[in-house]
Amino acid sequence: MAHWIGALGSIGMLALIGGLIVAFLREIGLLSAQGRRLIVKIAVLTGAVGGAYILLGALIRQVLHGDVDSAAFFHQIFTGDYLRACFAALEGPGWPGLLSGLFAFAAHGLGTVLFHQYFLAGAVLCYLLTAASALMLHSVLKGIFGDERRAADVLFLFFCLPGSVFFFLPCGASVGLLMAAACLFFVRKRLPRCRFAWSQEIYGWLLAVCGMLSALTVYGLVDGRIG
Amino acid sequence: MHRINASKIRTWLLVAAGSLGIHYLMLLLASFALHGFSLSALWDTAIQRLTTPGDATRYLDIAQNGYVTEGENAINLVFYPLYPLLIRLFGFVTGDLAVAGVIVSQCCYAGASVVLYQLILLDGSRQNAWDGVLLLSLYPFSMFVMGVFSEGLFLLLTLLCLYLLRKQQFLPAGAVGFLAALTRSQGMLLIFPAVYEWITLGLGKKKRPFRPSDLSLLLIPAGFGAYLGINYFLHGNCLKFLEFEAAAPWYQSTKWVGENLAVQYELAHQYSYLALIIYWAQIALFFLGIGVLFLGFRRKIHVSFLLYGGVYLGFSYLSGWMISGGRYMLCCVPLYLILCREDRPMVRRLLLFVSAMLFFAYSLFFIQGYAIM
Repeated sequence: MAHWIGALGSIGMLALIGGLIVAFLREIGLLSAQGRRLIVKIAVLTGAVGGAYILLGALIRQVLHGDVDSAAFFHQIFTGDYLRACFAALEGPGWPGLLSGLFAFAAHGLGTVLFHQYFLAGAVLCYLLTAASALMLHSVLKGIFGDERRAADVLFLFFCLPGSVFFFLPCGASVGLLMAAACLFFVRKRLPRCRFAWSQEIYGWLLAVCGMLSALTVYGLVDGRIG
Repeated sequence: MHRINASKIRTWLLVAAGSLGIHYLMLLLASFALHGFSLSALWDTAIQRLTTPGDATRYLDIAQNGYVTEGENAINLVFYPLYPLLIRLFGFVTGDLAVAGVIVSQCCYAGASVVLYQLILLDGSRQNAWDGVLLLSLYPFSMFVMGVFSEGLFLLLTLLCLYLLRKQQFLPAGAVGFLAALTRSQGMLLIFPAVYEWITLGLGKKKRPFRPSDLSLLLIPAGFGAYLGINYFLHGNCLKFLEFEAAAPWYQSTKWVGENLAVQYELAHQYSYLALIIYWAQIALFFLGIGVLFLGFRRKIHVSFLLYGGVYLGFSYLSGWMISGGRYMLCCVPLYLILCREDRPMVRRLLLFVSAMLFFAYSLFFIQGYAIM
């Protein structure tokens, strides 16, 4: 329970810093009211999806092994070899791969600023990278589909795909996502348009199937069978 | 210059009298609850609880003897110099340092109430301003403004600095910020709203060009620099105060907010008799502070105030061994600036009622000698 309170406090503090930055950008005219609303929406969406993945992992780990002190200790929850190497690289020298190594380097630096809270820094950094990617992808999708609603539908579906959990864990996946999203963002005006419409019933079924497959992925990560 | 008319002065006197009156009433009620109708008991209680608990004796010692470099009182260096200096100066008038300390605190607190009233009036209504003063007076740990503690002075200087920054009068703001930085460690945090106001003035709609007088904002960190200078002058080490803070009796360290909150929770279970007075109160105040600051975004409170609130909250909760969180949060003035803007009548009534009850309870515990420090 102590670590839950600590984790909530950390999230609150960091969310406040984010809010102040957005307010500052708005005050000096670099951000419109619409832009601010979009950033808040994407930030909340990304946080909610990431939080859902972590909590699901904690739930599965607690039921299977009963040894989770807190969902804040995601390095206790997700135990695959690759993820273990990434988590270890956060605290000390390590280079688990190009993108993961870059991520670990940046997270280690941020962790030093946050009073040696390396795991917190890793979580914050992957969240920031994923949220920034989501913003860019939202813009790309809006250009493709021409509609805010369908762009949001597709974006949410993307984050529910099996494997998307990696974007919310301190490893190189969020760096790769950011790079891909940036590339798409810069060429968004040249991307083809798609006016295909889908019914919300079909979308609902798609989300349900993706959600279950994602949960299976999380189960595999928690049990150490993948990752 | 603003015209100060008789009506304004009357209002200010009412505000000052009202905010002090709440505390005097509290002393009276507490004394009645503990000792019945005994004026001598009331006097003894007031003197004892306003001039001896916690850091009060240390401030009086500094006022009496200054900073010393040897002996057990060398650690008094961790206390900033402005408040003891004022006690010393007023001590020449009163002849008694403890009485001087109480008078300085209470006068500063009365002044702080008036400045808070005027600050809220810049963006809110008269009702909001009165509510702000009430909320400050009824803050559960506000009893410290009545005794030999630096909170009254720090409140006055902080509010005055924020008021002057809001009016874009950077020269006086810098001067007041300098004094605030010489009163408490949190005083130097005023540089954040100061720089924010300066930047938004230059980059915002008005795009005001740079003026040499803007450099006066650097007086705020200069105040902290002066304190470091005192450290160097006495001990040859600018950061000597950190060594003293890390040792007995404070054992202070700097850790991330989340880690400190987790420790607070564990301490609440380990020392259950102190849980409600210290640890749970500190945890609750942190989350209340975060919640209220987010509410400030929705209420479109001036962002520099929210920035100061966030920085103040974060800085205060970086303390690894915090037992005075309630007292620290007394001076997180943006909370009053936000909460006073509650216009829903039922919420406003509940807020004032609950504040009054908690103020009574914690003041009573303090007067009885519980570990509220």
